Amino acid sequence: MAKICIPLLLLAALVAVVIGFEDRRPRADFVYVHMSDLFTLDPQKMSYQHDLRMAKAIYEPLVAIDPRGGVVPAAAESWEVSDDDLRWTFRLRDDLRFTNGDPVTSEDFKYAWRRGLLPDSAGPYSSFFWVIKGAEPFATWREAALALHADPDSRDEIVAGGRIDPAEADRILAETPEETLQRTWRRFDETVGVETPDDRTIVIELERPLAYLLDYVAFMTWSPVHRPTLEAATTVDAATGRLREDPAWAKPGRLVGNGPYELVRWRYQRDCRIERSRHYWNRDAVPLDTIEAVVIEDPNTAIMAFLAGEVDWMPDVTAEQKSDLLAQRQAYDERHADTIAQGLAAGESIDDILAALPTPEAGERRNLHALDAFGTDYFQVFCGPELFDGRPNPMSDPRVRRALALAIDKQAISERVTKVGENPAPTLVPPESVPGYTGPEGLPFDPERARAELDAAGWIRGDDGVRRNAEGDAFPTIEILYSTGSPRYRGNSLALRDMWRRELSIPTEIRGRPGKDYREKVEKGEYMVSRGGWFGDYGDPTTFLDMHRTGDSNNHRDYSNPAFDRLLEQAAVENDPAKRFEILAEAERIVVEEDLPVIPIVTYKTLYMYEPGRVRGITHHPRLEQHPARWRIEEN
Amino acid sequence: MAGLILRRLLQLPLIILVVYTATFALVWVIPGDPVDAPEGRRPPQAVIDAMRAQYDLDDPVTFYFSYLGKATGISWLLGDAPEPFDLGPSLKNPGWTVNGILAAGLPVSIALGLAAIIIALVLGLSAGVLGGLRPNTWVDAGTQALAVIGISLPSFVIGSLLLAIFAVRLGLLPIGGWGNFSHLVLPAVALSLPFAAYIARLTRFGMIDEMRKDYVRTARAKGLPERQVALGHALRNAFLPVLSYLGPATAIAMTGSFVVEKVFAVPGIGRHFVDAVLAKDITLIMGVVLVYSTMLVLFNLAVDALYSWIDPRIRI
Repeated sequence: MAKICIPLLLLAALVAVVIGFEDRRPRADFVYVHMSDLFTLDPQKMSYQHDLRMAKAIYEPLVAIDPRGGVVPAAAESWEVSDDDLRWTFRLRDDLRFTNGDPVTSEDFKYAWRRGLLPDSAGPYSSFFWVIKGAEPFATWREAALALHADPDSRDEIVAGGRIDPAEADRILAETPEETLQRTWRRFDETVGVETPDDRTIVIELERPLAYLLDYVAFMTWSPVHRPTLEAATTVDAATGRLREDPAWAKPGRLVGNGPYELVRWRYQRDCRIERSRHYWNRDAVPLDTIEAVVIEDPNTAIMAFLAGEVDWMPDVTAEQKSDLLAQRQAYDERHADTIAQGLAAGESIDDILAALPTPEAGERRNLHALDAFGTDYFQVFCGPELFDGRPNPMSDPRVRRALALAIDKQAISERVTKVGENPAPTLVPPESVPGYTGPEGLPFDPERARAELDAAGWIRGDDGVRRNAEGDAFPTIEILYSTGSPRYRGNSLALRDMWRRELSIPTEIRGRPGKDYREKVEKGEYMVSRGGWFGDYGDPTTFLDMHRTGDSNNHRDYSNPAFDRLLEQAAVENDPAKRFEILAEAERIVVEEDLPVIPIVTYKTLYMYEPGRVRGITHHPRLEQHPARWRIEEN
Repeated sequence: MAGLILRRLLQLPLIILVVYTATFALVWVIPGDPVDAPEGRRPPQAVIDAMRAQYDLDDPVTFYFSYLGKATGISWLLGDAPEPFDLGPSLKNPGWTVNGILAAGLPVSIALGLAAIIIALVLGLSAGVLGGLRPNTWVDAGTQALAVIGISLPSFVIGSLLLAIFAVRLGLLPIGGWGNFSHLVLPAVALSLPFAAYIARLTRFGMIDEMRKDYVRTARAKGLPERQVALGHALRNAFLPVLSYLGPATAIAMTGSFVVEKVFAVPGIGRHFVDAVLAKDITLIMGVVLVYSTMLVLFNLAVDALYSWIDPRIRI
């Protein structure tokens, strides 16, 4: 017995030692859940929602989005724009400090933007900087210069591409990579429209007027970075001439930001903790001392952690039981329908109203919130004249696409398939998401009109129930492509299949593919109809409309309408914001009422869990721009 | 004994090399691209190409040898690498090294796995001895029934059940996370049950077998109390099959707790096995597999050593 017990005791001691070495800190003032770990805290490289959210605590761009979707000053205290709308001059506050106490200057912004634009260090949102005058040519020039170093034999080809002039190409070939880098910096200063007349002034010169520039520069990609930290992490690759950065600079202990919070701990797949910065200019207005984001991958566990009070806010409720939870919230809302309606009519916030109501009874809850998001769930229709397999594409006819759209009962999909109370989407731009913009009406559910459109397109239903064109060819079977990533995608696709079969007598099948495979097929245009969705990046209708331009890199539908393209061009040079929105609404009307390269289904909803009245500062505006420095906890 | 340990240690590099080669071949043929992002915005092609070149991903042969050299410390001995046992940067997680990820996760998994094995031994041996001493009684039937449940209930069910009862309803223990002993209890129990059940069955059969043997009769005849007969003599022999099971069981408990780690949000390395393969994070896969196989070999060695210590008749 003793011989069995001794090894056991030794093992137990080892366990105790391991636990003893844990870094223990008290619970943060505010704890919220990440379903997966942060990807990066490098502002120029991030693209994931939860990275961007955490970045708002750690960095601060020139301006910020307020809880109602408007633009407010942040690192910049004021700005002005030239009469031709091309030169934007931002004035920085005079007391800006990084978390290590160093002053933040206009040079730090310029350095970050140059870094975000440079192909060596660019991230997914690099093209955001292309609105700056000379930025895109600079990026392609640098790419060409690097290509010359990588493969001198390709000189003639590169010069022929027009990205670099022949004399300069020869000079670059004779240089060391370090010299080319110096040349690159000079070229940036000379050709790219960013100027820093003094430490507190930064000027952006635009390629063309951009009505939503302020909203655009609120995106975290435009945040400054701490230059000495970055420079210490950057080396020049001797072989290729490329800059190489050690991504570990964006980790606790090294990362230096200019935001309201300082990164103090980030443990892989575990948690990320921030503390209020002692140097932030507006530190006294930051309510919480410590915030922690914990990784809980299992949705059920995350909900239990919320119910047990270990977590204050759950931003992405994706659990299977979400429709149960939602039903409980609806039961509560129904019992207090009158009080809630009165409160809303009096202009109170829904959280205040809920907090003042009695505690939910069994089978009810008030801590689940289904909020409209800045995104639209849609199906896209391939519009090219020929399908990928060479057959003629009946859906290249807008009448056919209109018929497909008119035959979809979006309300039924929301009620019976997605089941989180999403609103049927008449348009691509979610209604009331962009202040001042009113979109078109969109198409209704009208099977009668749908059949008429199909008939008009020449697809006449015969006595055998098959639709044929004048040549006698039967309407080909439509295949709906979807990604198998979520049951929702399959459910929506099945609903469409049944509606088109039933209402239009068009043979329809569904086809699920794993996410990556699905994406490849969509990008190559190897589909007929496919499920898709889009979330807006900035507060302007163009964030949803640009992807329908002829040849846009996100136009996977091969859609082209010169009238639509012209409207976007017109809007781009229109100075009057109201007129501009009218033009964009007309452009959107073409997309959602006439041409239907995409058929909007529902406006996405995001499900949050938090205790109303206790957790404050969570905005319900569809942009859902949650800002950690606005969060508060009110204990009763 | 010393000879065995020496022989096993000499075999270790060979086993590791075979495992490394096999894993490498499998990793290279599974579809997918480690520098491609499955969702979100994709980096420009030039950035992807640069990454590929930086990590030798465009050349499997170079990758095979350079990674092997760095990971085993050979490059360091030859003076080509600044540090030994460098498992490289994680391809999917910018700024994290595989060494860093394993250094953070491995102690957690080891503690969780060991705690689970300790619980499994205590539960399994008690149940097995109880049942084995009184075979075919209700005590035996009861413990065996529990064992069957322990083996057949998947750990995510047990885990959720434990959470719902002890954390949400009773509020005795935290939901998830890591850092205190209280965090260890529920996941360790959930993880231990299948092992406990198996140990219970092994012990039960061992005890039934041993209690019929001559030396037990002799022990009884010379007047030893039944307790001492059972625990002092019979159990020692009945324990040997359990011991040989413990080697792989401990290694599995320490690394294979993917589900338990996920349900209880424990930051161990179990999930990296699955996540890394799904993301085709080659360096992370190779790193985890190398560490795991080394552990497996060492644990089996430890068990063999314990064998001859517990039962001196065994000479190996």
